[in-house]
Formats: sequence, C-alpha cells, structure tokens
Amino acid sequence: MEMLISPDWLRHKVESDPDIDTDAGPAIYVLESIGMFLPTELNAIDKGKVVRLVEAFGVLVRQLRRGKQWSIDELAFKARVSADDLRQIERDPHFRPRPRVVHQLATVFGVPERALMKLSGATVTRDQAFEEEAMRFAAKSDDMSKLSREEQRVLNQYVKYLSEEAS
Amino acid sequence: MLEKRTMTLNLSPHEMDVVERLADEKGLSKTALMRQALRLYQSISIRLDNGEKVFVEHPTTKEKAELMVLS
Amino acid sequence: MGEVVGVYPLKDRRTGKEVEATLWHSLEDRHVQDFIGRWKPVFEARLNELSRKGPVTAEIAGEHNVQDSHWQWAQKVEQRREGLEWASFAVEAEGVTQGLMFARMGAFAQEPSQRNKPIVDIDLLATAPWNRSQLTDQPQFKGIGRLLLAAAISLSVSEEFAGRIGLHALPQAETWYRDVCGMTDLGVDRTKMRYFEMTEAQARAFIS
Repeated sequence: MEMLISPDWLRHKVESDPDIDTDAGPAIYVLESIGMFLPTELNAIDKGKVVRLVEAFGVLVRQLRRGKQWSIDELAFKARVSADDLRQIERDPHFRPRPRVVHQLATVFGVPERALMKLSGATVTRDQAFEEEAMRFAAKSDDMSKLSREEQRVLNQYVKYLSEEAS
Repeated sequence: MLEKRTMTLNLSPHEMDVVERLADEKGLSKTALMRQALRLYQSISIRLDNGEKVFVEHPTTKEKAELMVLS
Repeated sequence: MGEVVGVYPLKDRRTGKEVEATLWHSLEDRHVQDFIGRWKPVFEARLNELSRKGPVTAEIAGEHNVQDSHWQWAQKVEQRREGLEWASFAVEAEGVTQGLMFARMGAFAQEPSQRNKPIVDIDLLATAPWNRSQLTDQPQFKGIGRLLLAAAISLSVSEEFAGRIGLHALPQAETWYRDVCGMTDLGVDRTKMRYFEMTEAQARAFIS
C-alpha cells in the first residue's frame, strides 16, 4: 500500500489541528468494558440506578433459567460458569459479574450480548428508556418455581425489546 | 504481503459478462472486483462456520429472510 | 506479520518537540499486547483516581478483571486477523503503541453520490490513554488520528476505492470528522453513533 501523505504534510497539519478527540468505530464499545471511555460527568451517574439495573439483570437471568426449567447447577453446567456466580447474580444486586460470564449467559440464552453487558453493569449506560424498560420488566416478574403464562409473555416481550435494542 | 501469486480463471461468457459489468459499475478493475468478491465470500463463510446466520432485510416491510448461501 | 509503511513526525505536547512514529500495516503481537499491558493500566489508574473523589465513581468503576478484558479484546483481534476483508494499522513511538485502527474492505458506501460503491469502513480508531485530553491534564502525542485517517484513505486508493472511507464517530469526535476532516454527516444510525463518509473529492482535499 502506498501512503499518500508525506512526513511534512503531517508536520504542517498537526500544527493547526485543534486538540480534540478522534476516536471512532463501533468496536470502540468493546473497550467500554475495560473503562476506556469514561463518561465526562462520572460523578453525575446515579449509584442507585446502577444497582436497580443490576437487580433487573438478576431477575432476567432467573426468569430465563426458569423458562427453560433449569436448576442453577444445570445452567452453570450449560453456560460453563460457576454456580456461585449464578447464585450471586440472581440474588445480590450489588454483585457485578465479570464480562466473560455475561457473554456465556448471552450465548446460552440467545440474548444480545451488548444489551446484557449494559444491564449487568459491565458497561456504563445513561439510556433512560433502557433503564425504565428494565425496571418495568423486573417489577412484573415474580419469584416462583415455574413461570406462569403471564410471566412467560412478559419475559418474551422483554427479550424481544433487548434484541431490537441491539440492532 | 508484497509477494503476489497468479491464477488463471476459466469463466463462461455469462460469468465474464457479469465480471465486466460489476467491475464497471463499481469502478474497479476485474482483479479488484474478484478480490472484493472473495472477501465477501469468506466473511459470510466465517459467520456460517461460527453458527451465525446471515439475513437480508426488505427495505420497507423490514421483513427478514435468511440468505441461503454456502450450507 | 506486519510491515512498516513509513516514519512520520508526531508532536509531543509536553515538550513541544517532534517525535518520530512508525506506521505499521497489519498488527504485530506486541501492538495487541500493548493494548492490555500498557493502555488498560492507565485507564485503571484514572478510574482509581476518580473513585477516590467519591463513592459513586467507585461503584461505577466496578471490578474489571484483566483476564476478561484480555479475552474480549483477543476475540475481536482474532476475528479481524482471520478475515481477508480486514486491514489493521498501528502507530508506534518511543517503543510503545500510540494508536490502533481496524478497517473493513468489504463495505459499501451510503452517501448518495457514491451509493453502493465499495468503501473502506473504519471499525476502530483509538489512541492510547496518555494521549487523550479527557483522561489526562497533559496529553502527550498529537497527530495520531490524522495519521491513521490518512492511512485509511491511502488503503482505499490502493484498493481502487478512490479514497472513499466511512466511519462511526464517538460523540466527542464528531466535530473533528465533520468540520476539520470535511466528511459528510449521514446522521445517527442503528449503532447509535453518527456515521460519516468521505467522498473521493473530500479525500483528495484531505490529503492535499
């Protein structure tokens, strides 16, 4: 490949270029998970909001598991994650799962990974609508051993929303 | 990267026709066109190998249909 | 694996002096490793610094296991090394990777005057944390973004795409691409990022 600019060109242009960010590419969001892009007003993010999202994530995992009629151990086996992690995910809204675990769950349940990363707190989001939908879903999902037909409907609707969010 | 290999292609008149038309339409030489075709073919093949599906979307109805290629 | 395209001068903002940078076409392993070994720790240090300023930031910072980020990044790089349609570039100065770029060669343009013509689509253009004004009071090297963009245009021309390039910009970079680089703004798309394209004429103007 022939480079169409010379060192001199760069030298002169850099002098007059403003000092601003040049980051680009959808792949950039993969880097969010390692804290590469910190929101400028980090302090303004509501801590409570994150906990509520993570709580909804726990509810989603639990409902998806129950929908398949799997025990925690069965899910742990199928997703190749630790049962301990799963128990904490489903019960502790302060527990932040590692990105790899979120990826495995996204795969085994066929749910969009990026949406799940946002929900689990692995990546930061300030999407108001996303938060509201998560809260709405969690509120409608009860803790019983078998999913009622209504719960199944609510679960399917929410998964559909996450899939549309991702595309 | 700098090393190049040569291949001779035997195409039917219809295929050659398509090569020429596409190259013209896209503003590419026939070689550049074939390289593009290879890239797209490989990219779809890799996705299918990973178990992913490839879909086309209708522009207005937004209906999705599976692109039946290479299985 | 990779090869050196050329040597170009970056400006070191801290000293005001010029520093020589090497532009690589196709990533070497060390460019990938620098990302995890050098870039990530600086982001983490910044996160720690911010978390000391208040409990909220500590909560947000979370715990990012090195193995997981390595795995995620390794996955992306692997996909992009395997395919013929991918091109990668690295900018190296003082023995450290300063910038990275992944570009796809199998894309088609959307801007009306070049609709459906083949285009180089930039999938990632990133600079090291110590070069960013957002993350440090004294950002170091200037010129990496411009150099990588010029590389993308050069790649486009070499592939017979006439300099056409496309990219999705982060919000803070929109001004750069629209006003400084002169690209056409095609609006926010499904990626939720703003998509920009450079036409043949705009590319020629940029590199002159």
